[in-house]
Amino acid sequence: MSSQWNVYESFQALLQAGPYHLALEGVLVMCIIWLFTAKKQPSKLIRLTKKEEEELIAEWMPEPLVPNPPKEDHPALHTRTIYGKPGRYLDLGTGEKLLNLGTHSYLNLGERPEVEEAALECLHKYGVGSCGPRGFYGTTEVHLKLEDRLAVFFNCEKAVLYSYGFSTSASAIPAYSKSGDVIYADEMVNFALQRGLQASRSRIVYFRHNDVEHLRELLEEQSRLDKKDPKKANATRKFMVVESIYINTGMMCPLPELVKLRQKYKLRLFIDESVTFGTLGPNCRGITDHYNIPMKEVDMIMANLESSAASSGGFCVGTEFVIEHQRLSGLGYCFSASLPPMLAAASIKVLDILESEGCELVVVLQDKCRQIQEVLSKLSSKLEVSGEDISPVKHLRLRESTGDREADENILRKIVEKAESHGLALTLASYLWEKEASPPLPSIRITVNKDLTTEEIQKVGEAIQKAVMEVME
Amino acid sequence: MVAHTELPAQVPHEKILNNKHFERCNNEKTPVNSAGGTKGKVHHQNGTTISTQNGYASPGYENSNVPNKKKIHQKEEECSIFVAFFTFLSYGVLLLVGHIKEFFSRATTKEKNREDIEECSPFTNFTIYLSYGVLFFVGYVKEFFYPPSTKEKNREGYVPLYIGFESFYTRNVYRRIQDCWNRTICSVPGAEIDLMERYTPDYGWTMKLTGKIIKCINAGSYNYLGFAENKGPCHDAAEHTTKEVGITTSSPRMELGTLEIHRELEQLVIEFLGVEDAITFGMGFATNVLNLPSLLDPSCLVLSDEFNHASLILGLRLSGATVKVFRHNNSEDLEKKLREALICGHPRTHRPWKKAIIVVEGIYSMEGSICDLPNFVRIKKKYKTYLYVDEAHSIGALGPNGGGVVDYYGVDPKEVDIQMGTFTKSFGAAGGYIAGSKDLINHLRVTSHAQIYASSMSPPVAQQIITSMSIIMGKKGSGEGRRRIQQLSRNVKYFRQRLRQMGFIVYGHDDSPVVPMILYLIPKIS
Amino acid sequence: MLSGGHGEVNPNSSWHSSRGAWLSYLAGVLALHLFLLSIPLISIPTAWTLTNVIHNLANYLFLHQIKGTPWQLLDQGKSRLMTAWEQIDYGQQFTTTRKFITIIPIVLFLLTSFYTKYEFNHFAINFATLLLVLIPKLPQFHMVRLFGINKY
Repeated sequence: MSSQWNVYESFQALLQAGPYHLALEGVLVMCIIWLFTAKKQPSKLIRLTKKEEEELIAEWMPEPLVPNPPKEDHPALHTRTIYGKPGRYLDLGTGEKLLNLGTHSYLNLGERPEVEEAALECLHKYGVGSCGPRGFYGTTEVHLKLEDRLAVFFNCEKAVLYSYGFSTSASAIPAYSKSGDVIYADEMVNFALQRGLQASRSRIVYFRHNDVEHLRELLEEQSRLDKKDPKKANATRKFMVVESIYINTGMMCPLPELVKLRQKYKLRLFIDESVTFGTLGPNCRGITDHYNIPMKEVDMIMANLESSAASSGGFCVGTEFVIEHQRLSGLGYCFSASLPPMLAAASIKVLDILESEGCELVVVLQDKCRQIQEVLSKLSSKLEVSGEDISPVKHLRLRESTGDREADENILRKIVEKAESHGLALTLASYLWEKEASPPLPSIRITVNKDLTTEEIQKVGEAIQKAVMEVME
Repeated sequence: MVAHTELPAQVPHEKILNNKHFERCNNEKTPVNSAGGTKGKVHHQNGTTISTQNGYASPGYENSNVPNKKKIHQKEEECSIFVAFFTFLSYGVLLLVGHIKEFFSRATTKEKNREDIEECSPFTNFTIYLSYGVLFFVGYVKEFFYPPSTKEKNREGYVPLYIGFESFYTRNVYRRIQDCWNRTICSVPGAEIDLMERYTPDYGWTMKLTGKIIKCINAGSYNYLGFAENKGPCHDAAEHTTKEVGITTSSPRMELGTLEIHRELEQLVIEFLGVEDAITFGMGFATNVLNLPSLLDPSCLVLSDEFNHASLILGLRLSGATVKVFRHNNSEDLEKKLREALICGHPRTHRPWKKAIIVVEGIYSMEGSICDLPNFVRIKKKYKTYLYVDEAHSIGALGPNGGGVVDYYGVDPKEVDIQMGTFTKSFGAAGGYIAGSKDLINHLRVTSHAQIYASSMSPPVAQQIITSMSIIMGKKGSGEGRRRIQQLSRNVKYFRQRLRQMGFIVYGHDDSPVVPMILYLIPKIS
Repeated sequence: MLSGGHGEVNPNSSWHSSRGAWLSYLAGVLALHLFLLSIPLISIPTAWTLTNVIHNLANYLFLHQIKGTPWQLLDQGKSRLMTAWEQIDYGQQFTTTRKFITIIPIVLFLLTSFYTKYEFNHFAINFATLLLVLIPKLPQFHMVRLFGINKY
C-alpha cells in the first residue's frame, strides 16, 4: 500500500533529521564542490618562454635518416641474380648451370608440370591478386579448400592460411600470449619466431639449444614460485615454442621429452615445422608422424608453404578451439590481403602429390640427406658439418674460427664464390647479427634436393673440397 | 542590397526648382512622378521632398523664367500609431528570432571543408546506445544462465587459453552480424563478383555454404583500377612468366632469391614514382612490420596519425621508438605535439632525440580521407623531421598519372623521405615497396628483415605488377592506363555525389575511392 | 574481435565521455526509477531506496568488479588487470567523465535521503552502498586490491 507522500512532510523531516545526517549531507555537498574544482593531474612541465622554445627547436640537429649507409661494395648490395627458372640447376649468369644447394626446395615440386598447370588453371579463373583481406571479399573457394586439405593432411580440426611465411609465426604467437604470460623458447629459434615472441610482450625464457634438462630446471623453478602464489599462477599461461628441425642449426628437437614436460608442467606446445613439412615421417606428416605422437599432444603447428610446398604463404593447424581464435585476432590474417589464389591452388596440388607419393618422396629425400652428410663429414679438416643425418638443412662451419665473425664470414663467402666456378650454387646463411637473440656461428647453409643423383652428390663433395683448398691454403 | 534608383542625371535641386515646367506641380499640391503635367512634390529616394512648380520633374530644361519662389517644406503625412507599433513589433520579433537562432547554431559563412564530417542526429545517437545496451544486457543475462561452454578437450587443469570476457563482444554482438564479413567468392574480383551464399544453422556459431552462387556488383574489393582480371595483357603476361620462371623462388633476396624479374620490377617502380631507388617485398603488411624496426630505434621520436593501419602500429611497436599520436589529419595538432616532444626530449632521460619521423597514410582505408600532404611537408621542413607516407590505397588510385597522393598534390617526390606502398589494391597483385633515396634503400637492402629471412616475391605476381604498372604509365596499352585513371575519378565523384543526394552520411574526402557510408545501427547491417 | 587503433588503444577508456553517453546513463537511471515507482506494492521511499541501491550495486559491479575489456585489443593484455573504472581515460584522474560518474551517486543519495524523510533504516542502507561506490573511485585506490580480491 503506497502511502501518500507530501513534500511539506519531507521538509518537516529535513528540519527534524538527526544532526549526523545533516552533517553527512553537508560533507557530501562539500565533496561535490571539491570535485568540480579539482583539476586534472598537473603537468610536470616547466613552462618555457616562446624565445627559449624557438631556440631549442632551432638548435636541435637530427642525424641523417640513414646515419651509416652501407658502403657500395657491401655484399648485400650485390646479390646474385638468377636467370631463368630456378630448379635443381640455377643459371647465375656465369655461363654454365650450377647445381642448386641453396634454395629451400627440398622436394623439388616446383619443377613438376602438374603443379604449374594447377596454378595456371586457377590463374585463368581468378586472375593473380585477390584484392582484399580475408574479411572483405578476399576469401575464395580455393583458400577454403586449401585450409580444409591442410587440416585433413595433419589430422587436425582446422587450419588458417596466411599470405606470407614470415607473418605466420610473427602473428600467431602474439594472438595467444599476452603480457603476463610466460613463453619457454629454444634459443636457436628462427628470426620470425623471435619477432613473434617480441611482439607478444610476454616474458620470454630461452633454454639452451635442445637441452631438455635445462628446460626441466627452469620449469621446476617456475613451479616452485607458482606454489607460493597460486592465484597468479592460475592467471598465467605458459607456452613452449620450438622448431621441428631448426633452420639455424639443422638439429631436430627431442619431441617426446618435450611432450612429457608439457604434460607435467601444463604448458602449451607450438611447433614450427617449416623445414619438415612433407620431408619427415613415414607418412610425410612431419615430426609428430616421425615420433608417432598423436596430434592432441601438440597445441598448434605452424609452417610456411615456401619451401617444400613450392608456393607462398604459411599456415597454422590445430584444434578448432585454438585455430579459430586467429581468424579474429591474428594481425597478419585480419589486416593483410589474402594469398593470391593461383599460389593456393599450387599448394593444393602439392598436397595431392604428398598424399599419394609422399612416403616414397620422404624415403628418397632422407637417403640423399644421409649421403650428403657422409660426403660433407669427410671433407677437409677445416670445415665441420652440423645437422641431423636426415635433415634437409645442414650447416658447414669453420672448425676453428678466426675469432672475428666478419673474417669468418669473408672466408666462407670466398668458398661460396669459388664453389660457383666448380659448378655449385651455395649460399652463406644470412642473419641480422645485431637483432638475433642468440646469433649462430657463420656458416654455409646446404639444402638437400630430393632429385640429386649420386654422381652429383660426389661432385658436391669434390667441388667444396677444391674451393676450400683454394681459399684456405 | 536594395535596388537603388536614381534620377537619370544628377540635376541640382535649384535647377529643378527654377524650371518653369514645374510650376504647375506646385499649385496643385499633388506629387508628380511622371509626365502628367501636374504640380506638386518630387519625392527623392533619399527622403527629401522637393516641391515643384511645373509638371515635369525631368532634366534638361535649363532656361527658366520663373521667379525663385521658395516653397515651405510641408509636413509629411504620418502613419497611424497602430501601424507604427506593428512595424516596431515586426522588427523586434525578427531580431529576437535571429539572435536566438544564431546563439544555438552559429552562422557559418566559411567555405565548407571538403572533408567535414557530418554528425548524426541526437536521436540516432540515443538509438545506437540503446541497441548496444540491449545487446549487452541480453548477453549478460544469457551468460548468467547459460555460461559459454567452449571448453578445451585434453587440457584439463590448464590455465584457460582465452579470457571469456574478452570474447563477450564476439559472442554476443559480432556473432549476430558476422554474415557481413569473410564472404567467399568464386570468381575474379572484377566489376561483378560471384558470391557463394552462406547460411547458419545455429544462430551464427557456424556458417555453412548453401552451394548457390549470387552474382553481385562488386563494391567491396580493393580493385580500384580494375587490374584484377583473368583476361587481357596482365593475365597473358602472368601466364607466360609462370611457364618461364615458375611460381616460387624458395629463398630470401639476400641468398638465392633474386630473379631478373625482381630487378626489372624495381627499375619500373623507380621510374613510376620518380625516386632514386626502390625495393620490393612479397607482402604489404610485412613491408611495414619488417622495415620500420630497421629504420627506427628507441632513441627516435615518431608522430603517428590516429587512424594509422595495424601494420604501422605493429611495426612502430616492434621498433621500440617513442610514439606520439596526433589527431587525424590535423596539422595544428601535429605541430603542437611535435614542438612539445622536441622541446622535452626523451620522456625518461630528457636527452634530445636522434631523429623524428612523421608517419601518415595516403588514403585511410576506414575513414576515406586523404592526408593533408602539403601541410605535413611544410611542417616537416620547418622542424627538420622526416616523413613516411604509406600509400597502400592511394598509389595508382589518386593523381593524374596514378602516382598516389604525392602526385595528387603535385609535391616533389624528394620531399617525402620514405614512400611506402602496396601492390595489392590498384595493381591487382600482392606485395609492397619502399622508395626513397639511394642511401635509404641501400640500408634497407642490408638490414631489412624481409630481405634476409623472408622469401622473395613470387614471379607471376611480380609480372602482374610490371604489366599493370606499364599500362598505368602509358608504356603499354595505348592510353588504357590514362583511361582507367580518369574513369575511376569520374566514378568516385558520381558515386559520392549520388549517395549524398540520397541523404546518406558519407565520410572522407571527395576524391577518395574509399567511401565509408555510415549506418550507425548494428541491427541494420545484417 | 580486435578493437582499438593507434589513437584509441582501448575504446573502453573513452566511450563514457562520448556523445550521448551521459544522457543515456541518466535516462537509464530515470527509467529504472519510473519502473520501480510504477509497481503498486512499493511505497515511494522504498522505491527511492531501491533505485539508489540497485544503481550503486550496478555501478560497483560494472565499474569496479569486472576487469578487462569485452574485446581483444592490440595492447597485448595490458588492460586485462584493470577494472573499467581504472581504464577510463587511461588512468588519468579527475577528468570530466570521472567527476560526472562520481557526482551522480552523491546526488542520488541526497535526493533519496530527502524523499525517504531521513529515516534511519533507509539512511543506513543508502549510506552503506554510497560508501561502496565512492571509496573505490578515490585516486588513492587506483590499482589497489584489498586482501587480494579481484587481483587476477
